[in-house]
Amino acid sequence: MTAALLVTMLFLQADGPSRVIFPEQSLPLRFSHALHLKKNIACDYCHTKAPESTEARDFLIPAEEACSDCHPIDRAQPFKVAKVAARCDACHPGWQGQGQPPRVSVPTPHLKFNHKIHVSRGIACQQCHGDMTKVELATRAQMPRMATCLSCHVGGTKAPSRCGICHLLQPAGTVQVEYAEGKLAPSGAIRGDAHTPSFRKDHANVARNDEQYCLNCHRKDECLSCHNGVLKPFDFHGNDYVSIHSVDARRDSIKCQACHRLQTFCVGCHQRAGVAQDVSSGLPTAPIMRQIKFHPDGWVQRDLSGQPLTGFKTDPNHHAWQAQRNIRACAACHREQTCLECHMSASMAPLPWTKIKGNNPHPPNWVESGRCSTLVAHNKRVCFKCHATIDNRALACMP
Amino acid sequence: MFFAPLAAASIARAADFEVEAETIGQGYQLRQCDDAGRCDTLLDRRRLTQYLNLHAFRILPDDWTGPRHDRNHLYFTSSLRFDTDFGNYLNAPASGRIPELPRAQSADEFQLLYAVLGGVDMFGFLDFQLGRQIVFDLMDFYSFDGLDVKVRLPWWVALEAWSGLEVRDEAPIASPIYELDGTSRGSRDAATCLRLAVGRPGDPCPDQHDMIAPTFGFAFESWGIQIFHGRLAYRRTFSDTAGRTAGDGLPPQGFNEEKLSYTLNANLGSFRPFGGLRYNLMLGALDQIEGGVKLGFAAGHSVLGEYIYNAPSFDGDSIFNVFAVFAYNDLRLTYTTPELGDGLRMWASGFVRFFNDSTADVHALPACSPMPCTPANPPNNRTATPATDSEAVGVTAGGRYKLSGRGHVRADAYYDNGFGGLRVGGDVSGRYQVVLDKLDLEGRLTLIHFEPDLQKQNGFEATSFGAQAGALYTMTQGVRLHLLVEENNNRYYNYQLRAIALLDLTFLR
Repeated sequence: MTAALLVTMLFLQADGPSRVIFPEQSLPLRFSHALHLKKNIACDYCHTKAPESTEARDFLIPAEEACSDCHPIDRAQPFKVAKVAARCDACHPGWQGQGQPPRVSVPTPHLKFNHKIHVSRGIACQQCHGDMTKVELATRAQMPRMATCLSCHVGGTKAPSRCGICHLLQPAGTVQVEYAEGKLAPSGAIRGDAHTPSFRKDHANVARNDEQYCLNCHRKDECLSCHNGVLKPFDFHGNDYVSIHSVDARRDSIKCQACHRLQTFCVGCHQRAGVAQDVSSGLPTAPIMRQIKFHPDGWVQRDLSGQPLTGFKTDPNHHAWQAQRNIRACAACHREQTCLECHMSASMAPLPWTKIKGNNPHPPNWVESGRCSTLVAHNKRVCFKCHATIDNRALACMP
Repeated sequence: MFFAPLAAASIARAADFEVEAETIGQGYQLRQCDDAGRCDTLLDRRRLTQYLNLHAFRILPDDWTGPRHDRNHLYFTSSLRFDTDFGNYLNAPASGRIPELPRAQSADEFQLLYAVLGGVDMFGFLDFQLGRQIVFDLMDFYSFDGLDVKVRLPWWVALEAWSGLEVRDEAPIASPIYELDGTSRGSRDAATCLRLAVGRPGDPCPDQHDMIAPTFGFAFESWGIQIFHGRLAYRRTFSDTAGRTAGDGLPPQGFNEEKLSYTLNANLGSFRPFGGLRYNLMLGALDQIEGGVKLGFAAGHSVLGEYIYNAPSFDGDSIFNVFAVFAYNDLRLTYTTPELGDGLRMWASGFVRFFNDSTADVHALPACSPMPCTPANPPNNRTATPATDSEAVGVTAGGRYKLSGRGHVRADAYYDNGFGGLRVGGDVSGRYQVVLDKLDLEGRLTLIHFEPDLQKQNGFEATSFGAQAGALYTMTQGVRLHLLVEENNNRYYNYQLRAIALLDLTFLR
């Protein structure tokens, strides 16, 4: 586990700390931590407020007084020569003693942090800020990355792992991600979920594995703003998607189902647009022949009078091939009634508007298969949509 | 009334309230096909959707939530939607084709998408949700009315249990968007009427779809472990048989769903495997497997490899479960660069998908199987193979360039072919904040050629050019207007217009 964390941390070093969490700083200073640490000066000798700090907004950079203990600074003599550096431009490079020196600007990090608690737990400064013995001026680069925090904040008894322990929260309890400096987004170090442009299409492999993880930053209504089946996200579905969508749907409708359900979304629109025409119960003739004009020749076996059009699954265009490969594509236009027109068991009372029935749609050895007995054991009702209750074949695979 | 004691308890601090109203007006045109198979007219569809979302957060006082408001978070969240259609999309003869979807049910719908009283990190170990809620996991998108409780045990394990009623189309103010698929209001139709099975086709058909469907489930989940997350979940949904009478041979009850799923992901530095599988107990088969790994390399290069196995499954009352015989297998590979230079990121991906079929099985069948040979069931030609490919392949490549923090330009090119059809093309899109925090402009150009594989006979192939332009105007804090216009041209129509207007109003207190 330690090795894994170490690798994670090394991986993260390349990116540096977040510019949103730790905004850019202005440090017109010259300073060598390496030199001071070589003289065995303790961190809190200069950073006197750090051990007692309880807020991330506390300004912990030492003021001039801290330096004056060792450096004989005299504001009246900006170019004073002394054994220990005392010239103003020793620390304020380029400043000639006129007016104010260039100001240090360290914006408040967008975090909650309590130095006092960490110091009281015996956590050394370098555990979070790294080895300072080779560092000259400390910058944002010496701020800890999230992976460093997570080496202790793992939940359980060691340290709490709730996001709100460190991150600022919205009223909804989610992490605040919008700042003037930009939008906070995962680096990908924790779950491989870097929000790259392609993540919009690939996010399911993270979200479906652990919904709660996403909900740390996103409210659920944010998910529903896209997954709602009402509005086409223009940056997701391209132009003229209505014309093109059939290619996607035939190939991978499980992704479509993240927003659209076949029987309550697709069918209604397809039938209104005349792309699919449902069997209208009670009509004297079923419009099944009309569908043949949309589908290729050889799509169905017989016409309404029972005359064969092509043989059973022998035509290269026969619908059974497509239905067995991806039945969802069929269900996007048709409801169960369409199938029952021809596939209803011969033992059933005939539908008033068709003479066709008894075309067995089951795969070979269905009765002997465990799948048949499992389905019957769980929901026998589905069998009775095609078979009569007296139909022995419907019950043949009962355990 | 329910909130009365909470209101009394929160004297020390008022809750945060948020009211959102979103109005969406859409107008677009759809090709309509007539009975002769000609698809050269355009239907006008105009749609108005109104959302009203109400939220209350931090309902408990500071004494409970702590100074950082990071525990004992009690909240209420809800979303109401009114959706209606206009235009000749609804008019005869089109609407006459679907008598089971009368206007009252297919338009003018008033839906409660969700309404949840929830708690997060209550007493340091408990999460709960009570009300109409939506669940996203490997099982499916799913909606139910009920209670979900998750307890985090001290040993990096959380136990979750839930129970309630599945939200179905015919439940009061329900939305069918996450209903189990495969059945429809057609349950009343003569063709799917269970009365036929008991030999009483003249009797009124009870509506199986209208029966309440109790659901329950439980899950074991890891928590607090940074390098690993796993979840094992079980869910069952069932319903009584509608209109059953003693001795009619119909079963008293049936399962609509019974599934067991397991997901996991691990973070091993730059090596991050993930995966999941779902066993459909109702069908006795694994119906979903997915696995993959994301590799991260120095300086931010990443590679994502995925494998997906998917066998279609439906509501237990759907005969589509019987027709769905084969699964498909899918392999995907995606490479993404880090941000190069001053904000350029590029990616490329490819997939290959294998659709199984029963060609070998059919060739091996007896001459007239499964029915006896008759004049109406002649011997078969055993040499036929499907006309369409059983594989599909595709590649995509693209890049996005950030424009000094105020926008971006993006370009994508794609080619895919095989089962489903051919599609080749590309598009360029962009967005730019013209006036800081006030006005964004956006646009998209697309050129694409497509040939659906089943429509070759009908010559249904085209090259389409589309252009899109939009503006997002923030009038004041919490008030935004988004306008978009899309215009498409191909050989079927000289112009096909789509326009959308969104007005977002958000009020916070």
